Amino acid sequence: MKLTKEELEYMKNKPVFQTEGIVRAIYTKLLQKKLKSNPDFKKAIDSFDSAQNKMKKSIIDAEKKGVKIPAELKKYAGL
Amino acid sequence: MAKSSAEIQKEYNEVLKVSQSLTGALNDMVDDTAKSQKNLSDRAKEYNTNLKSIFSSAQEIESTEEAILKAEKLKGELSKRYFGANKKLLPQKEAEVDAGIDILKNEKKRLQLVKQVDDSQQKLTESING
Repeated sequence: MKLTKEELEYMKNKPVFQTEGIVRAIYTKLLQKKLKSNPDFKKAIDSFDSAQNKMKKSIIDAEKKGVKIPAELKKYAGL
Repeated sequence: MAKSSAEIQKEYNEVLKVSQSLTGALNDMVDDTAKSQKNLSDRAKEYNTNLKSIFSSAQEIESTEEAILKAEKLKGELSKRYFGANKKLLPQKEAEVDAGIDILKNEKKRLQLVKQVDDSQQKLTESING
């Protein structure tokens, strides 16, 4: 079922939705559900995790070999 | 006060850019390695200038992809730049270039992830609004 623009606006304007942020919470929940069921997104997450691990190893290895790693890069890598 | 769609779009565009502090830090890493490597040949110094230029060119997803390819190609030239008296410095330089490339690869993946979330968000908004 799709809401019409008027129905959506009507819901958003209800005090309970404004004060509790229910519209935002529902929207976030729907977005999470949509992303969880998206195989491309899952692949992108795995790919990002793998890239992060590789980056951390490279930075640690470079540091062992005498490369001075700037603090910003360590922070970026979560080291 | 609620943000306008133009403000949200502007913020999103900023999120999709490689931060200047990241490219600046990559260039600092190259400079610091060069400082620690005394008596560098002119060819090695030229190599560092090229590498910094490549790191600086990473601005969003596409240019970051190009920068990764260029940096990988430049990595193949390392042994031609670090030879003779500079050959002993090669492992350190290789490790520095590898770290730089992996940082750019990670940044590209991060930007792609942000874009996917935004695309899903736009589709969801469209489906709600009909």
